[in-house]
Amino acid sequence: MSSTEAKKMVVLKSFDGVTFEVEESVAVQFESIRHMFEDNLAGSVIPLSNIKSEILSKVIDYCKRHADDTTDEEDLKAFDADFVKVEHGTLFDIIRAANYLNIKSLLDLTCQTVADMIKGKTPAEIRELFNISDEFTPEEEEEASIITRFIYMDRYADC
Amino acid sequence: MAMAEGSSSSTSTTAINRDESSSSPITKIAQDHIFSILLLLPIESIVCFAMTCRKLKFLAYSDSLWESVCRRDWGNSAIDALKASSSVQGIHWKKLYQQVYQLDSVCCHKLLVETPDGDEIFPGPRASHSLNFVNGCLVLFGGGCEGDELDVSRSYASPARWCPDVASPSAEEHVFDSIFEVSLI
Repeated sequence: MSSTEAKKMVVLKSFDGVTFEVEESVAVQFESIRHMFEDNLAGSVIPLSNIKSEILSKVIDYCKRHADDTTDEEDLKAFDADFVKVEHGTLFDIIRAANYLNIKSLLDLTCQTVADMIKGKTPAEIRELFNISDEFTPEEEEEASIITRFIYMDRYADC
Repeated sequence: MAMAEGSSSSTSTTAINRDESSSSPITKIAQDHIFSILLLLPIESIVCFAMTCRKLKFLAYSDSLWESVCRRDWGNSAIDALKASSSVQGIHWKKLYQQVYQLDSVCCHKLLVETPDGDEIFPGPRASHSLNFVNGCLVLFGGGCEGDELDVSRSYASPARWCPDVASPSAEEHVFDSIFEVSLI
């Protein structure tokens, strides 16, 4: 009897008005809105007023995959590695969405991805990476350059 | 319907610079997440990140981040003990981290002892010493020198000799004769 029972669905609505129907077993990963569908509000539409549909769809994909017990760990790792291969803007949007929905594993994954990008880079390389415009005075620039040379002495050895 | 706020983060989740759409994508995310990212990085990378622009420098040099860095690298118990200590008020975490980090590049000064004849000689070995943090310097204070079984000088890797009196000065002078000054570069 229970196997034929329809799965409970939760309807989420993105900031730009797109609705997504998600199984409750997937949506339970959205810690911050969990109470809304657990408190018998199932059936009503839950508005996510600051997540774009493009991002919400990615986040749902992630949670679907992570809710699936049949996926083995290696596959999940490969999925995660692939999942974060997105534009930086999208990656930061996912961080915001993961925070808003309170999905810890996704937040950890995306923060680690950004950290890995920064690791081992000089300030100039980090600026280029994130398209950061330089607002330093010449004095601050000099300080940055001294610190960089000190940290990456080996890289500058040939200069 | 009122929307639930993201509950994972603390109060300081105001996204920096939300208005400037043309600016770097990293300014899209909240300070808390920049901190989470930086806490996954070695010190060198945190410093390099700080050197990219003024706004990020302000964030990456903030003491709340550095308190977390200290906790990460030294453990909670050390930090809690430091905070509980009544003698330390308003700890400057970044500076503190920097000082301890630079202990790797420590340099020792030997203090000479003046004899009554006006000569300056190195003090001899001492035991029962203590290591204290005084005015931004680590200072070794020597203990007794006669009848002690331990020859402190042998227990140090430093080539510098350790310290006592030459011409039987007063007890107070003993102490100051036997200071090793370890300055932080």
